[in-house]
Amino acid sequence: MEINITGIDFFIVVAYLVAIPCFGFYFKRYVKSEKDFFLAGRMLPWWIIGFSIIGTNIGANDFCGAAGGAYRFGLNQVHFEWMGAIPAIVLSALLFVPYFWRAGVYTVPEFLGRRYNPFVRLVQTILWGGFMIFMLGQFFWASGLMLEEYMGIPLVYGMLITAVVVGLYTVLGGLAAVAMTDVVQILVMFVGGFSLTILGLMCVGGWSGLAEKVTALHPNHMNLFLPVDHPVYPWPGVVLGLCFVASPAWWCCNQAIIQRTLGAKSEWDAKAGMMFAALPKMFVPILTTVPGLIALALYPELTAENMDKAYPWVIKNLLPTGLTGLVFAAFLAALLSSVDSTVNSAATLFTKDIYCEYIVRKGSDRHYLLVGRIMTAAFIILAIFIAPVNKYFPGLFVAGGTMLSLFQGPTLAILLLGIYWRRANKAGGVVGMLGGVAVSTGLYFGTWRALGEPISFMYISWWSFLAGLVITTIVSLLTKPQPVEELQGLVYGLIMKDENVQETLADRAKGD
Amino acid sequence: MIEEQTDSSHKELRPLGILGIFWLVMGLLVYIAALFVEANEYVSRTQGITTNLAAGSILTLIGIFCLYRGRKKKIPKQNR
Repeated sequence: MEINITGIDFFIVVAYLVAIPCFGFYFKRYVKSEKDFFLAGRMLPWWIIGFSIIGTNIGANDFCGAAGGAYRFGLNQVHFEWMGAIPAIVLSALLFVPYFWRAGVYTVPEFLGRRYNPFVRLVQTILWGGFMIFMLGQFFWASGLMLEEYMGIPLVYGMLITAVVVGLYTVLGGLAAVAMTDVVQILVMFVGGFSLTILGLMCVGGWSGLAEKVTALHPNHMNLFLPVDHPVYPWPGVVLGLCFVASPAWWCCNQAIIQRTLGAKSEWDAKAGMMFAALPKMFVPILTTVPGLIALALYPELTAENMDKAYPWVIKNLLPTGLTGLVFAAFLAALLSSVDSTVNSAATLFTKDIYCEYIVRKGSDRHYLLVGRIMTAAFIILAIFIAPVNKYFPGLFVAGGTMLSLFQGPTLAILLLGIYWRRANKAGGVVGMLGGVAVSTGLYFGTWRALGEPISFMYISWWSFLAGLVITTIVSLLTKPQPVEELQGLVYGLIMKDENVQETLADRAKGD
Repeated sequence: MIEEQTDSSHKELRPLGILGIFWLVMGLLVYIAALFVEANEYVSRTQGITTNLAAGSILTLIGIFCLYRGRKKKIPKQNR
C-alpha cells in the first residue's frame, strides 16, 4: 500500500517538519528554572492545557488502531472516547486534579509517595516510566515507517528526523514548548482529519449510505454494544473494565496527561483545562472511527492482518493530489505531539522521582534543570535504540497495552482510597498495589494457560482494581492509622473543608 | 510535608501571535495546494478544491483571529 507524496504535498510536509521545531524553540525563552522546564513555570492557561491534553492523547497509532478497530469490530470503537474517556476526564477534573495541583507536586507518583510511602512512589515511577519508554520506542518506529512508506526516506533517517524535530524543542523548551506545539498541531490534526472524513462520507453517500453499506456487509458493525461472549469487546467488559477502571486510570493517573494540569497557573485553570479537553475529545471518533467504516464500505477486502491499514487505504485512495500533504501533516502532528509529551513526562518522572530522591537530593535549581534536559535527550536516544526491537516483535504494541492493564487498576484503587479515605495507610497502599498487580498478572497468565488465550484486558483491569480496593481496605483496617498531620493537604476532608489549610496550600502551590 | 514553591517570578505565556503566524502560513500553503488538486477514482476535482479551500480558510481565519487577539493583548503592556 505505497503512497507517494510528491510536489506541493511533499513541500507542505517538509515545511511542517521545519516549522514545528522552530515554533517550539521560540518557547525556550520561558525556561529559567526546573519549575519552568517541568511545569512550564506554572503559567499554563486552561485552553492550552485542554488542547495539549488532547494532542498528547491522540497519536498516529490511534488513527491506525481506531480505524482498524472500526473496520474489524465496527462502531463500538467509539466507546474508547464517549463511554471511556469523556466521563473519566470529568472525573479527573473534579475529583483528582485539585488534589494534585494543591499538593504542589511534579508527578503523580510523587503524590502517591507523599500519601503512602517512598516505596509506592518508586514502584509507580518504574512502572509508568517503563511503559513510557516502551511507547516511545513504538512511536519512533512508527514515525520511521511512515516517513519511509510515504516519502521514501530510509527508516533510520526517518527516526532520526523525528528525533531531531522533537528533541530540538523538547530538550530546550520543556513543558511550555511541548504544550504549545501540541496546541499548534491539534488544529492541523483536526482540519486535516475532518477533510478526509468529509470527502469519505461524500463518496459513500453520507452517513445513511455508510450505515447501509456497512450493515449489508456486517449486520453487527453499526451496533454500539457487542454480545457478552464477544472475545475482545464484550459489553460487560466495556462497561466495567473500560468505563469504570481503564479509562479513569488513564486520565487520572497517567503522568503524560496530568503533568499539563500541574503546570496550570491556578487551580481553576487546572480543572477547567482538564474539563475542556472533553470537548475536542467528543469529535475524535469522527477523525478515527468513521474513516475505518468508510474504508470498509468502499473496500471490504482487507485481510485480518491488514485491517490496521484501513486509514492508510483511505488516504491513498480518496485523497487527491494537493490534499494529501495536509492530511499527512495531520498524521505527523498526531505522532509528534505524542512523542514530545511522552519524552517530557518520562524525563520528569525519572528526574523528580528517582534522580532527586536517590542520587542528588539537594542539588541547585540549575543542576536539576540541566539534569532534566540531559534526561530528555537520553530518553530520545534510548527510544531510537529500542525502536528496532519492534521489527522482531510485531506484537510489542499489544504487549505495551497489556502491561498497562496489569497495573493501572491497582494504581487507580490506591489513588482513589488515598484521596477519599483517610483511614487508608502506608501498609494498605503498598500491599494493595502489589496485591492488585499480582491478581492482574495471575489472571492474565492463568487464563492464558487454562483457556489458550488471556481474558479481555478490560476484565483484567476491573478485577485487579477490585482486588486493589479490597486488599488496601483490609490491610489498612488491620494496621495502625496514619497521624492526621501526615495527611494534611492530601486527603478529602483535610483540604477542602479547612479554609486555613486550603489557603496555605494554595499560596504554597503558587509560590507566594 | 508540602514542598515550598520558591519561584517568585510571575511570567505570562503570550503565545497567540506566534500561533497565529503558524496557522496563517499553514492556511496559505493549503490554499496554494488547491491549485494543484487533481481528480481521482472517488473524488472529483471540484470536491478536492472545495475541501482544500475550506480547510485553508479555517486555518487562515483562526490564524488571523489569533494574530489580532495577540496584538490587542500586547497594547496595554506597551502603554504601561
